[in-house]
Amino acid sequence: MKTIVFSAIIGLIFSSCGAPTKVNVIHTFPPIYPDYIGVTIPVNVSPLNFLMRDSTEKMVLTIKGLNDSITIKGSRKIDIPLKKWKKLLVEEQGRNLSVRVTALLHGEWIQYEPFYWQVKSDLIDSYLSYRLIEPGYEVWNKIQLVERNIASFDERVIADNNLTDGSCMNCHIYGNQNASLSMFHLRGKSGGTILNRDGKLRKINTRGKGMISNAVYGSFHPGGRYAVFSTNIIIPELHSYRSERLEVYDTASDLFVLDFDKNETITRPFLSDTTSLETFPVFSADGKWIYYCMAPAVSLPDSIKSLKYNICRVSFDASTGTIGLKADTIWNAQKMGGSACHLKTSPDGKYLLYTVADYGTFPIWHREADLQLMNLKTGEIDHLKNVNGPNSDSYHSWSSNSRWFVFASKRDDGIYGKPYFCYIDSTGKTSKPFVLPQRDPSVYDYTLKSFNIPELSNGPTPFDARDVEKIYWDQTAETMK
Amino acid sequence: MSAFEKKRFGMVALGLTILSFLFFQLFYAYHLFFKEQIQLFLFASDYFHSYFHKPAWFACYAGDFLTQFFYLRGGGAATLSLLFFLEWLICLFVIKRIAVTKNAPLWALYPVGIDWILHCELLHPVSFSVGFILLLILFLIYSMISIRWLAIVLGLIIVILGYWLAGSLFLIFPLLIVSYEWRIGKFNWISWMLNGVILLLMPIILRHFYLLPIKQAYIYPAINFQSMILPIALMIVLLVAFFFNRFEEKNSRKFNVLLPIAFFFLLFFGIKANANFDREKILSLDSEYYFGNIDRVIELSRKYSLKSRSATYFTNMALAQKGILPEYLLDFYQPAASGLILPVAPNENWQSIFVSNEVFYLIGDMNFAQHSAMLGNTFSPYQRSSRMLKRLAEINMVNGDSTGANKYLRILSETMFHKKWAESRETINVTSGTEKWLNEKRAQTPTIDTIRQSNNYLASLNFLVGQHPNNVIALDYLLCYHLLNKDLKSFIKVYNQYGRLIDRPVPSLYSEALLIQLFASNADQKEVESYAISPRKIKDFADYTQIFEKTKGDIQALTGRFGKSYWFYYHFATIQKR
Repeated sequence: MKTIVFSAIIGLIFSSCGAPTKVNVIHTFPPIYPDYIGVTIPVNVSPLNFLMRDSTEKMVLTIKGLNDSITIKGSRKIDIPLKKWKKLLVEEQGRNLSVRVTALLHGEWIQYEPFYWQVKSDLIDSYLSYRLIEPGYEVWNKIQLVERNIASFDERVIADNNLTDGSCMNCHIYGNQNASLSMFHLRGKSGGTILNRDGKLRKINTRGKGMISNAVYGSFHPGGRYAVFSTNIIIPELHSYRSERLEVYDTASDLFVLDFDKNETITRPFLSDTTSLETFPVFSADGKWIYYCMAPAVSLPDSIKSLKYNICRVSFDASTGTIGLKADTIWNAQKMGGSACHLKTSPDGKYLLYTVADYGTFPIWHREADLQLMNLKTGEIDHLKNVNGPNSDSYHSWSSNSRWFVFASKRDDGIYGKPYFCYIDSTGKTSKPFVLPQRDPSVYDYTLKSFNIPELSNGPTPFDARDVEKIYWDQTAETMK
Repeated sequence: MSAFEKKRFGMVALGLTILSFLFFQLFYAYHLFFKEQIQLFLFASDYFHSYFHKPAWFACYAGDFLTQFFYLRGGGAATLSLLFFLEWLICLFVIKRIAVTKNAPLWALYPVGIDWILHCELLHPVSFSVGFILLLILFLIYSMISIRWLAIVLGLIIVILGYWLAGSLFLIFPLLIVSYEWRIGKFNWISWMLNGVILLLMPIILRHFYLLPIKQAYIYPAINFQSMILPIALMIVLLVAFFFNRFEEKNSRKFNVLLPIAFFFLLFFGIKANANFDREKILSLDSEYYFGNIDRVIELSRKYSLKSRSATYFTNMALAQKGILPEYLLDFYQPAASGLILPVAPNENWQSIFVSNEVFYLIGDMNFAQHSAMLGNTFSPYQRSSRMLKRLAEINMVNGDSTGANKYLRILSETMFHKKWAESRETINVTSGTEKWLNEKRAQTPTIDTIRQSNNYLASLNFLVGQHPNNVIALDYLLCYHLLNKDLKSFIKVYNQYGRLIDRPVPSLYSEALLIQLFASNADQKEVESYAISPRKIKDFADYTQIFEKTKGDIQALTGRFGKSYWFYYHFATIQKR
C-alpha cells in the first residue's frame, strides 16, 4: 500500500513536471517557426529558438550530437540556454545535431520526426547590421541602423534618425566586412555620406559637379581609399494588380568612383551618359574590376517591362585611380530572360552573387526575384534552387571567409524582409538557409519593420548613435572636386 | 473628518466623476475612439519588452493598456473619469500633506481639471495621467516615512527609478519633497540638492541610452510640451493653496463657494480654448464610417454642415456606398475635387494620411489602399495602429494573399478587442470564393497590371473603371471628379463610354451636367432624348437659363431654387489651385 501511494506521488510529481508520457510517435516534422528544419548553421551562431505554430501547450526539445546533448522544456516557445548551446556547438562542430521535438497538444504527447542541424566549423562574421524600417514604399518616419551580435542576442543601435531630425539613412556598407571601414548615407538638411575609418567619422557631400544626385548604391575598393557609387534619379510607382505592390525605377543613373584621400570623383563618359542606366556597382575582390548593372535606356514607365539590366564589368587601376575605357557584358539580360541587380563579389574572388527579377531595378517587391551565383572563373551560373524561396529574395552580403552569405528575404509573409543566412562550401554547394535567430521567436510575428540591407562585418562598428548625432548637427560636409 | 467634510468629499468626487464622464461621452467620445485607433496594445512578451527602450515604461504600458478600452462605446469616458477620480483622490492627500488646507478636496480639482483639458488634445497620452498618479502615490509613500535616513534613501531610490518608471513627470518630485519638508520644518539641503540635480540631469544622461533628442528626453512620455502643464499646475496649486491657507479659517464659506466657481471657470475656458469641437464632428463622421454606420454618417453630415474637406471626404464615401453620390453630391459642401480623395503627400498632416486609405479601399484600388494604410501606420504617432492593421489584413485578403493577411491577423489576435475580429477572419479561406464581402471587393479590383504614380488618382480611377465598368462606385467618383473640376469634356467622354452602360435612372447631377454640354454643343432633340434625361430636369434647366439670362447671372436670384444644382456650381464655384 505504501509503495502504491509512493509511486503515485512520484508519478504525480513527474507528470506535474511535464515529462512526456504515453507519447505518440508521428512521422511528420513539427510545425515550428521559424523554419529551422534541416538547416546548416555556423558554430558561432546564437540559439535557434523557435515556437510551435499550433496549439502546443508544452514542449520538450532534445538536441543530440555525437558526444553531447541538451534537453530543454518549454511551453509553446523554446528558449535554448546560450551557454549550453555554445558548448554543444563547439563540441559538435563539423557534425550533425539531431533535433527531436515532443509536444503536448490537446492533452496528448506527440513526438515528431527528428530533423537535423548541420554545424559547420566555418565561422560566420559575428556582426550583422541592418536598417529597421517599415516596408513603407518611398517614405519613412522612424529609422534605425542596428548592429546585432550573431553569436548572442545583443543588439545595438548605431544610428537613429530620431536624433538627426527625422532624416533618412540608408545603404550602410562595409569595406572587406571590416567594421573599421564603413559608410552610410545620412540625408536631410545637415546630412551627407558618413564615412567611418577606424572610428573617425567624416561627413561628405558626394554630389560633385555635373552629377545627377548624391551617391546612392556603393561599394568600397579593397584598399579602402576608393569607393564606387551609382547616382540615381529614383521614381516609385504603384502597381494596380493585386500583390505586385511597388515598382521603383531610375529615370537616370550613372557611375562614379570616389577618392576619399583627394575628395575627387572619377568617371567615364560611357558610365555617365543618358543612353544607358548604370547602377549597383561593386569592386571585385582584388579591386581590379568594377562590376555593375547596365540597361539601355527605354521609355519609362510605359516600357518598364523591357527594362532589363545586364551585368557588365570595367577595369579599374587603383594605382592611378582610373577606370578602363571599355566595359564587357558578362551576363546578358535579354539572353538570360531577366534583369540583374544587387551585385556582390565573394571575398575570395570566386563568385558573383546577384539578384534576378523579371525586369527592373528594384527587386524587393518582385515576388519572383531570386538569387543567382556566378562562378567568375568559369562563368557557370547556379540558380540556387535550394536557397531561393517564394517571394522576394534579394539584398545580400558575404562573410569575410566566403563561406556564408546573408540575404534579405520576404519568404515568410511577402511583406516584411528578414535576414537569412546561407552556407556555401568550397565547391559552391549551398545549403538550406535559416533566418537570424531571435531570443523570442515571436519577434518576427509582431514586428512591423523590415530588416533591410543586411550586411555582415567581423567586428562591432566603432561608433554609435551619439557619434552620428554629433556629426549630423556639428560637422559641415566636405565637398568633392 | 466632519459630516460636512464627508458630504463635501462625496459631492466633489461624484460630481467630478459624473461630469467628466458625461463630457467625454456626450461631447468628446469620438476623440477617444480615434485615440484607440492610432495605437496598438498586444499581450505579448516581445511587445512588453519594447517599452523598456524608452523611459516611462510603466506609465506607457499601463496607459496604453487603458487606452484599449477607448474602443468600447462609453469605455473611453469611463476610463478617463475613473482616472480623474483617482487623480483627484491622491492629489487631495498630497495637497493636504503639503499645504495643510481644509479645502484640499476643492484644490485637488484644479490639476485634474488641467488634465481634463489636456485630454481634449489628440496627442495627450493616457500614460501621462498614469505617470502623474504614480508620481503622487510615490510622494505619499515617501512622506509617510518618519525615519529620516530611510526617507532620504527612499527619496533617492524614487528619484533614480522615477524617470525610468514614469518619465518627465518625476522632474517635479524633488519640488514636492522640498515643499513638504519645508512645511514640516525638516531642512535637508544636501538631500534636496542631490535629488534635484539627479533628476534634472537624468534625461540628459540617459537620452543616448533611450535615443531621444534633448527636448523629447525632458517631456517624455508627452509628445508635446503642452502636456507638461499638468505637473506645473500641481506645483502652482500647492503654492496658492499654501498661501491662501492663512485666510481659510476666517473665510471658509467664501472659499467653499469661490473655489468651485473658479474651477468651473478654468474648466470652461480651458475646454473652450483647447477642445476642438469641429474636429470632434469630423472624427464622428470618420468613426461612424469606420464602424460601418453609413446612414449615421450622412445624418451627422447634414446636421453639422461642416465646410471641411475631411468632413466632405467621409460624406462622399457614405453617399457612394449607398449609390447616391451623384444625387446628393452638391447637397454638401464640396471643395472642388479635393473632398473626394485625400492626398498622401509630404505637406499633409498625419491625420489626413491616416484616413486616406478609406476611399481607395472603397473604390477597389487595393494597392493604393495598401500604400495609404502602410503610410497611415508609419506616420501615426506610435507607428502601430489597430485600425491600419485591420485594413492591411483586409487588403491582403482581397488580394488573395493569405500569408500577408495572417501577418496582421496574428498580431490583432493578441489584442483584447480586435481578437475576435481577427480570429473570425483567420478561419476564412481567401481563395475559396465563398465569402460575400471578398467577392464583392474582388469584383472591383483590376485583373491586369499597370503602374502609376502614387498621387495620380485620376489614373487609378480611369483604370478601375476601364477594368470594371460596372464598378459604379469608382465610376461615380470619376464622373464627380471631372464635374467638380468643371471638366465637362472629360465627364462627357467617360459618361458616354461607361455611364450609359449602367442600368439606372440618370442621376440628377449627371443630368444637369449633360444638359450644359448638350446645350453648349447645340445638340438636337434626338441626341438629348438619347440620354433619357427626365422632362422635369429639362424644364428646370430651361428655367435656370431663363433666370440666369434675365438677371445677368445674379447669384441671389438663383440660390434659392438652384443653389444645389450643378448649373449653379458650374457658374459660380471658383476652383483655387493649391
